[in-house]
Amino acid sequence: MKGVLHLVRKELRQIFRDPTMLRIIFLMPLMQLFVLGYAVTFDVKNVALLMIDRDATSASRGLIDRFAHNEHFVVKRIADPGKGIEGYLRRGEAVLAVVIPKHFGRSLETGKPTEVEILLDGQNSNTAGIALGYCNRIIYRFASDRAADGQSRSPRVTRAPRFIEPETRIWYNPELKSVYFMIPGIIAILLTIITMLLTGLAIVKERETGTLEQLLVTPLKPWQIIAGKTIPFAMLGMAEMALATTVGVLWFGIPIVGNVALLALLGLTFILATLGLGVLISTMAGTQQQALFITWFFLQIFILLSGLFYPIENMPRVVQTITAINPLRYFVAINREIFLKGGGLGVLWPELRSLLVIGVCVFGFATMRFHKRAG
Amino acid sequence: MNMNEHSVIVKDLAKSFGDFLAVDRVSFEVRAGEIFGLLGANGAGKTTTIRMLAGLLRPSSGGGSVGGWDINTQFENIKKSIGYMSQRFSLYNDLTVKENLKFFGGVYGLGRAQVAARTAELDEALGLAEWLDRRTASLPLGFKQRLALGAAILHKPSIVFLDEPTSGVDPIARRRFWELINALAADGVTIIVTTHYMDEAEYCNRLCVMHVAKIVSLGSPAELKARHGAHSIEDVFIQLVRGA
Amino acid sequence: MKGSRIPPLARKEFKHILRDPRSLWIVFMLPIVMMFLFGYAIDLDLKDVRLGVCDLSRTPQSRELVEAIDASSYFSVVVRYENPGETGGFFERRVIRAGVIIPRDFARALERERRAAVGLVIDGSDANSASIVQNYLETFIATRPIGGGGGAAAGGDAGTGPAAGASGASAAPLIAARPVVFYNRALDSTNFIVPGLVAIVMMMLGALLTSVTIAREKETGTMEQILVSPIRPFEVIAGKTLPYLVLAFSIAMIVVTVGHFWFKVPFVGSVVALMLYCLLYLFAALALGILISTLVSTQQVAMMLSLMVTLLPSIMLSGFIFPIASMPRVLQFVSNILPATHFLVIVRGVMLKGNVLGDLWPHVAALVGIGLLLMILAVKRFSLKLGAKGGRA
Repeated sequence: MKGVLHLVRKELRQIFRDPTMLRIIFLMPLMQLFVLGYAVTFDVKNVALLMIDRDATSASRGLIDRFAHNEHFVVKRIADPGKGIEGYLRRGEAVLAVVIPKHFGRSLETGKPTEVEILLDGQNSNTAGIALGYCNRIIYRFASDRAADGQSRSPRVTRAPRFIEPETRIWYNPELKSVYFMIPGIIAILLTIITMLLTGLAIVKERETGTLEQLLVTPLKPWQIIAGKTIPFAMLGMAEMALATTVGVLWFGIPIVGNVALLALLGLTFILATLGLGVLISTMAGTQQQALFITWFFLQIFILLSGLFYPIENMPRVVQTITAINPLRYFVAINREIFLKGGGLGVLWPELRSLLVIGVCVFGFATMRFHKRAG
Repeated sequence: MNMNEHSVIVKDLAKSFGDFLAVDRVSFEVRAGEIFGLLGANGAGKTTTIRMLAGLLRPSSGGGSVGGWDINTQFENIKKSIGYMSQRFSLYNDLTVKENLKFFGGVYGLGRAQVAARTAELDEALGLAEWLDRRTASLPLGFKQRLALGAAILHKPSIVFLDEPTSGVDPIARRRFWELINALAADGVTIIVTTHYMDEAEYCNRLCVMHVAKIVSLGSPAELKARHGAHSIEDVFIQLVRGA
Repeated sequence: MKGSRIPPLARKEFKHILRDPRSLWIVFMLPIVMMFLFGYAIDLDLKDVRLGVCDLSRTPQSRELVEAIDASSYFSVVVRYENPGETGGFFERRVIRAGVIIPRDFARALERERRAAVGLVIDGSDANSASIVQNYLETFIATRPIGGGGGAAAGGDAGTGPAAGASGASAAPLIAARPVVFYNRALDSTNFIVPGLVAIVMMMLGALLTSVTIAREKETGTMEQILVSPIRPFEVIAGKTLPYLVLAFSIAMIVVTVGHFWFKVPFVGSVVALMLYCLLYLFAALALGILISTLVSTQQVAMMLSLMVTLLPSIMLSGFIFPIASMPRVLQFVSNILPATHFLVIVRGVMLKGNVLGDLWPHVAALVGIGLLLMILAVKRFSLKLGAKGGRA
């Protein structure tokens, strides 16, 4: 036990002696938190939209008005360029162009179905789809409002179809602030970088400089060396998590409905898994650079398959099975539960169990590979 | 363990890395308190042999014992009774001299008081006193070397392995280093050292000359010179290598 | 040009790279794996969203609505319950994402006033999916005329959501919205991501690797060895970065090729032009890497700094995944000074839209400007550091 203590003390001393490293460990993630907290959103706002009015009646102006007052769009009316609309899209001057056809007003009056063309730049498939959805809603709302107002003279219109109005209430995150969901997830990602990457790097660095060999010659056992290397980063990780969570709550105003102690405990089990992975990677990497690349490789995949940005339910079965060994997936779910929904151990037990299993397996495997005696 | 017995016994030790035979059936015995040298050019197999004895590398065949412990089956036990100084002076560059010593002392199971006492002794013996609070990275090479030795003998091991301990160090520092080694040996510590400096071979009680994974000659410096009709170990070496 | 000292440096660096197959392999596999993930695994369009329905009306009209919802490929009604109060419990147990609560007077309101309200309760804890669910559900319900013959097809082109406006049926809407999608007809997310991967890969190889490599030489002391020779700073830089330029460029081309031929990402514009733009971007990325290397003394710090300052922002702030227009002003400004942001517009423009220089020149100019600025800073700092070291120990 004393051996581990010495190792931990040495490691901490080394870490704190490098001011740049310290700055990076504590300051940069905070900066990232601020930046990413505001940047990471799938909300669609300020979409540049062109309106081309080929009708110029009060009806068409009414529709334009609807778009102009919608918070999702930034509307620019332009004169009809004929066939040249696509050029605007091509030059990136707008993402959407809405074309109100001639006789739009008259068709509405007489109850004849008319058509509004929406040209959209489909590059960003996600944004395009959502923006199109908003357009549809605006147009539909406009149509149903006109029908209800009975502004037409034709009898056909009175037999207007009946419309259903959804009245929506959103639980746990009424303003659907991405931030509430993203920040805990980003904290998880930053935590993973610190614990997985730095641990792996630290071990590989000792191997490169030869000090690892010096440790292998001593009576220290493999588990002691591993513990001595991982405990400091576990401590740093928890400190970082506490700091980032505080910032999240105080600055971003994220509610913590659930139990903070539970969050800490689950955070610890998560760190167990990532540290184990860091050690495992260190047994696979010969140089620090390799360690970085291997870690980054896994990190990218973990992040993409964590459910933070893209829903896991949508993924093909095979991929969903793969996410079962992704510790980040469980921690993202845990964060979501504890911050926003207040779920307790009862709800989160499956996640805890999975994390423990992953952690123990990975650590076990890593320790096995960590031979004191080569070849 | 009987002081007169052999503290290190090596029998037909061999190591290959894939097709490459690094050590080819090497055998020797070292008595307690002896300074035993492995002399040879780079790549002859000296470092590989030492690493097998220190429990860092598994032998491909053959065996032996260090301090009474079997190399193949009890290598973890060996670690407690040996000190090891690698070619690279593997020290923590961002820690001070004192911190390095405290760390390794602690790792070998010495208590605070013991470490303090030993550090004081070593400072005297090794002349590290003025460098105690300096970062290891800033130490001149000669002092780094002494620090590495200090770290290796902090726990008063009975057997010490030194792998090319004087590489790159100036002749005065080298001479001083050997004075330290001799003092250790006088205390009864067994010392096994590898070197490619021919003149240092003279300081050993006995030595073996290694060439391309084999031991080509073994004995005290006087015996070797007589055996090969040479005036210096350097001549012995050249003869052996040319002849082989 | 007296570049005679550059080739040996560059050759040494090349050997370093080739002798590290593990790193090479990963650098190659990462974008490929990401392409596969985005191509096959990641899908933002929701399918079979788990809903609960609480039908308090129990009339033919309400049942029609429920069946329509269930029949849609977007939703899947997994639980039908009687008491609206149970919704919370279902959320807690993560059984459903949203609940549809049809009030008792649904049918009556429809008949009398021609419009009826329906309650939607959505689990907002996953804000991303929640807003998509909200969008889909509201659009589906709001654009669904009830009554008067069989339901209009749930409609919606791939990815454009469940608006009923696209197809006509007996209850044709008064104003149909006809979408015409350009550049990415099927709204395939791969087409959006692959060009972005090119940018990410080059930033990674150009900035991250370069900074780490130079830092490593500093750490191991081999930098000193080079400094003792009569070599000039810019030659050191050129020699070190040339191999990474070649490597990054090659891998970028591989990404584009695989993306185009396997994943069917269109390539409308000029291949040569794209190559030139890639080199321009690489120039900026390399400059960034060199600059970072002058700020650090160890590899670890180089890695962390590069990750935090080049890679992460390039992924998060450049418009690679998240739309810039939705970000606050400050971040939009930061985004605009990132080389990746401009390059993304360029590479997407060339591949998907067939843009030419005339369309892209503001971004090209920005890239040139940023690249030059970074390179000047980098060389300046590098020489400074060399000067400080060289000569006296």
